[in-house]
Amino acid sequence: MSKSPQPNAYASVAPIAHSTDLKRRRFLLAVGVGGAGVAAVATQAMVAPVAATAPLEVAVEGQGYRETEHVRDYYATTRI
Amino acid sequence: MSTSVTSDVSIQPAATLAIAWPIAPEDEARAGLYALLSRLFAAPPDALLLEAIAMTDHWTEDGHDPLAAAWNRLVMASGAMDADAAMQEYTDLFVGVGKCAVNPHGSHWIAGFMMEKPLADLRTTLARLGLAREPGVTMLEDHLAAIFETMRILITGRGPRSPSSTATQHDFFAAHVEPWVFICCTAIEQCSIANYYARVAEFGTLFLAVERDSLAMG
Repeated sequence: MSKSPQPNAYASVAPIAHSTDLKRRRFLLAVGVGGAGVAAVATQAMVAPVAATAPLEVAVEGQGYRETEHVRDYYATTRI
Repeated sequence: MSTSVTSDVSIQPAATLAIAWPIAPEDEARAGLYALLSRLFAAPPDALLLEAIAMTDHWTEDGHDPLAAAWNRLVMASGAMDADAAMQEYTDLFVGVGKCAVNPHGSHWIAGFMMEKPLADLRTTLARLGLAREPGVTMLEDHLAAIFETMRILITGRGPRSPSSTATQHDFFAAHVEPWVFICCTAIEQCSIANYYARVAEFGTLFLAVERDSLAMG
């Protein structure tokens, strides 16, 4: 079984936070984002409608309109 | 008439997200809130999720924290809400064709119709970011839940994909969140039939305002 690529913990993430980044994080903390408590709920709430994959050709399907029974009944009443 | 809601979202078990890129705790928190918002707009919460939210810590309020107050209201609403009622409300708001239905797709709010240019633009952006709809998922990319999930992935990364820079997050937010999500959430809050989802939308609006302001600090 091949191993999935492991994230390199020492790359990608800047070792020293820019001052603007610190400012952003302090702002988040000040308004309450950053406190404990959300993580456990988030784990339970995970959804993945979007995924990191190669570009994928998917059929375009709308979610908005559904021909339910009551809609079909309505259509039946409009037929001459 | 059937009132069941089919969730077209593929639920990812938490275990498969175990490989985590190191990110700041504030960003972990942001990602968690996006995950929760995504989940609540993808499908109605079941009893387990409502209970989990209800048992989350309240945020400290000192009278000047609208976001904390909104969070606490959502937590309390989650404790008072019945899963069946939540499902009915979700159906009436987002799936039904009643007078108070709110279309949760960005293209509808920006272009006036679904599946218009804004969706095409979003797909172009996603492709550039190396993201795409999961196979078998019918939810459109510009659905509220999908937009929030995209933000989450930009923050935390996913699998071999590393977290995106704040600049990338800001660009995505400015182009694909800010133009319509605030308006959509306001519409939900103003719906007379919105009860639980009024709390969700209220919190979402305030959280996104924080996001807009904090991402602009880069």
